Formats: sequence, C-alpha cells, structure tokens
Amino acid sequence: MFAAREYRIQECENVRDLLRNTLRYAYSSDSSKSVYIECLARLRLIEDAFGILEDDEEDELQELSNQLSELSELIGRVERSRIEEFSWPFALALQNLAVKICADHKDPTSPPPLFFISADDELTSYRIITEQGKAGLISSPLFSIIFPRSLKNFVLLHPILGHELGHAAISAPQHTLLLEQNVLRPLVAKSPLNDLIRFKKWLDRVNSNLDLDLRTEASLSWPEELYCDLFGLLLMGPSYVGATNSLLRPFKTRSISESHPPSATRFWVIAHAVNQLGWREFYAKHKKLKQPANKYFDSLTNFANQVPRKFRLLNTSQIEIALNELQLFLQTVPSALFEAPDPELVATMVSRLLTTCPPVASEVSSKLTIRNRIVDFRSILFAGWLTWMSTDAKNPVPTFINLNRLCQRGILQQSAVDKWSAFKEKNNDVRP
Amino acid sequence: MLVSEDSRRSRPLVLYGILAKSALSQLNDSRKETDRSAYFQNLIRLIDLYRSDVLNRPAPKAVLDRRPSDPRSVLRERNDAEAVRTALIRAHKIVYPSMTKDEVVEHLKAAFLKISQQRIDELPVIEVMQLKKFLEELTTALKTP
Repeated sequence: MFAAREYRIQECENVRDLLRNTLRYAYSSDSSKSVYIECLARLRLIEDAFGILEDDEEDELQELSNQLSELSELIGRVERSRIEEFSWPFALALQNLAVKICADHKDPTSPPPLFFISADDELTSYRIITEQGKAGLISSPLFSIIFPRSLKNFVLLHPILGHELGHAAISAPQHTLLLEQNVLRPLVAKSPLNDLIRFKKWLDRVNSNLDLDLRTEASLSWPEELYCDLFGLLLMGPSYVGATNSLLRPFKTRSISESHPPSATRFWVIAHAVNQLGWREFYAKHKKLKQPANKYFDSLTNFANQVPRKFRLLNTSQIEIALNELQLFLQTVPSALFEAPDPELVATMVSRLLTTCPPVASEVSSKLTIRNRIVDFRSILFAGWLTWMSTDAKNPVPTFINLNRLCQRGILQQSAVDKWSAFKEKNNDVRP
Repeated sequence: MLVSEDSRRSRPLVLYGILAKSALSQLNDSRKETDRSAYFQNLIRLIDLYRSDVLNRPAPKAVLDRRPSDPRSVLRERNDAEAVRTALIRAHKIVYPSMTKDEVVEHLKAAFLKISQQRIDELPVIEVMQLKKFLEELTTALKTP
C-alpha cells in the first residue's frame, strides 16, 4: 500500500513515462517539440509544488492531483493528434491569424503562445482552448485548436472558429482592457444586458426557465458571445455567415442557455452587422455574382427579419459603434481584418469551382513563365459559399463535400504560393 | 467513477494559493538552482486578471456546446472567483496601503518581471521584503476555510 504522498510521487513518475513515450511518434505540427518541452516544464512545476506542501493541506494536494490529471489528458491528446484527422491547410492558415492576434508583440519577455491542433470525436467540438488569460502551473500558455473529426474536409464550416478566436483575443492580457472598454461595454450599452435587474425581467418576459443561479452567469457570458460573433465576422469575412447559419440553425433558435444567447438574437445581430458592412451590395453589383450573393445574404436577412422584437436584445446604434471599434482594433493587427476581395477575382474563383477545378491556380505561359496571385484563404472560402448558392444552368454545382475539397486544395495551393513568395523575397530572387 | 466529479474539477482559488506559496518559497530560498521563472510569469497573468476585473468571467463554452451547466458548480466557481478577488484586495491593502489599484498592479508586474528574468538583484531589499509579505498575505487569504 502507498502513503498518499508516495502515491502522488509515483503518479508524477507515471506521467513522465507517458510523456517519454510520446517521443516515439511523429506528429503533424512543427511545434510538437515545444509542446513536449512545455509538458515537461509543467510536470516539474507540479513536482516542485508537491514538495512544498504539508500532508494536512488536503485541498492543495487534491488540486495538484487534478493538475497532474489535466496534464496527463493533454499528453494523451498530443499522442492521438493525427494530421489525417483535420484539415491541416485550414488549421495552419488559422494558426497564422491566431499568432498575429494573440502574441504579445509589445512585451518580448512574455512567453510565446504554443499551438496544438487536434480533432475530437464529438460532432460539436469546434473549439479553441486558450490559456493566455489563465494563471496556473504553466510555463508557456497553450492554444488548443480542436476540430470535429467528422467534419475533417468541411473547410466551408470551419470559419465558425473565428468566433473562438474572439474569445482567445479578449483573454490575451494585452487586449483584455481595450476590447472590454471599447467593444464589449458599448455593444451591450442601453440594453437589458447592461443591467442585471432589467436582464432578469427580460428573461421572465421571454418565459425563460433558466435556473435562478444561472441567470447572473448568463448576464456575464452573453456579452462576450455576442462580441465574438462580430469578431468572427470581421476576421473571417462573409464565409462566417454561411458557417454559423449552417451550424447554429439546427439548434432551437429561441432556447435560452446560461452560456450562449439565443441563436435568434445572434443571427439578428450578425445580420445587422453584415448590413452595415455592405458586402451584399458590393458583390451583387457584379453580373456573375448577383444571383448567388443575393441568395446567400438573403438567407440570413430573411431569418433575421422574422426574429421577434423581444429577442432583438441590443440597441442597433450600439452594434454599429462596437463594430467600428472592433474594425479599428483588427486594423492594428497585420492582415487580421478581412478585406473584401475584388468581385472579379471572386467571380473567377466561382467559375473555376463550377467546373470542378480548384479556385486558384498558377498561370503558366507558353514560355513557361509562372505567374502567381496572392489570394487570402478567407476569399477562397467566400467564393466556395457563393458557388454553393449558384444556380448555373450550364454547370451543375458540385456536391458540398467536393466543393469543400476543392476549396481546401485552393488553400493548400495558396499556402505553397505564400511560402514560395516569401522564399523568393528572402533570397532576393528575381526569377519569375 | 472513482471519485466525485466535483473533486476532480480544478479550483483556481486553491491553484492560485499554491502559485503564491511556490513563488514565496522560491524567493525565500535563493540557493535553489532550478529556473522557476514560470511562477512569476503566472503571477503577472493573475495580476492582469485583477487589473481588468475579469476574474469572475465564466470560462466560455465551445461555440456549439449546449450542455447545461450544473448550478452548484457555477455557484462555487463564482464564489471562488470572488474569494480570489477579495484575497488580492486584502493583500494589496495590507502591504501597499497608499497605492491605488493601478499603481499596485504596475508595481507588482514590474517587480515580478524582474524576478522572472533573474534580475532580482536590481530590486531594493525593502521591496523584496514587501513582495514576500504580499505573497504571504495572499497565500493566507487564499486558504480555503
């Protein structure tokens, strides 16, 4: 039999063995070495903490056991992370955005965030777990990006992770105050969410059966969720509309939970923001995009117009203020704010997709000169959605899964083009 | 399940207590050879949470997760978050009574940063003593009843 302390020391040894075993495998991410070092550092911090605790500090000893167990789960996830289980071209593009948004560029002494990408079995597992706004026995904060395994190739649905990056951004210490003061508070100003008593009355008015203890929780969680929708929209562009529409609609749109506002409210807020951004008008002006652009944005607007007045929880002018502030914030991060691509480029990508070709390609001239064009992966996704909305008499629209695969190819192609361009620039190569 | 779900859940209140105690032990024993700057980097993060007043912000659920929360754990987490905030205010008032919240945040962050960069020698002795006192008060205040 083990004494409590001896058993915990043994557990630390067991976790060290688990970690050692992970070295036997090859992993998808080039950050796996850093993740290994981080896990080792966490184990040492836990072991040290065991060393300073007395036997009668039961809560503390229990907490360390929980920390050890969480570390063991993390090691398990690292070990089971397989590149074949998620769309790695999309994941890497998203990671590039996340690094720009969440790394603390002003404070070089702050440890850089580490990224870890994996797939989970649950159909609803889209998630980014961030440790930046968390203190604990950690050395460098870790970002875990999690995709549902069953949706591996469905890159057109992945823009929903823009919402999760909103949570990551506001939890980064260098952004928390600014986003809180400039975006989150103005967003809910003049609404029931700004006043707990009014909010509780509103919950009664919509016949919510939310537990009394959870009502305060809802008042704290909902503003951040609504801000995250605006963040996802401005970050990922119009493809965020298609992704949220598809993934949230299957849930009851008026149900009240403590963690998220009703989908009806969220769609109404997103529709108002999309209207402000003027994307529909911009793309519907183009002859070839008029039909799909109208159909695409109509599906959101029509639904939002049916949202009962009592579910329109925010003040529209406040949504506009928050949207403007968030745009200003994203403009300070290089390439973070989605920039609407030229409609002609989008129309070309749609035409290619309708003939089941990847949306982007290198042009090779008769003299074998290669010409590449830089296309943002978010523009590819938007073109994918417009293709799905097309009713082209000549070319039948590819199946949704094939459309996703083609877009994924496009993202992969672009990432190769980006690497090639960076290489050429670095080596001052003037060859075409 | 071997033990109850509740006891398997991490409690920031207890974790921050361990963090403060570990940092204090690090400051008290200068002979320790290992680099444990992580404790102080984490204390900087804790101070940032205090500054932004977001200690009580619930951890967001995944965007499609609709599983209901257990009101008892929600309540406990809220009480724990409040206890952490109160503990920080208490330690602040006892050790740095003349400083405002913003001043104490800046002061502590600068000091913890120096320690995490192995530049403790640059801090005056009196300041190190105050830091130790702050960590002692924090450890005591974060003790669960």
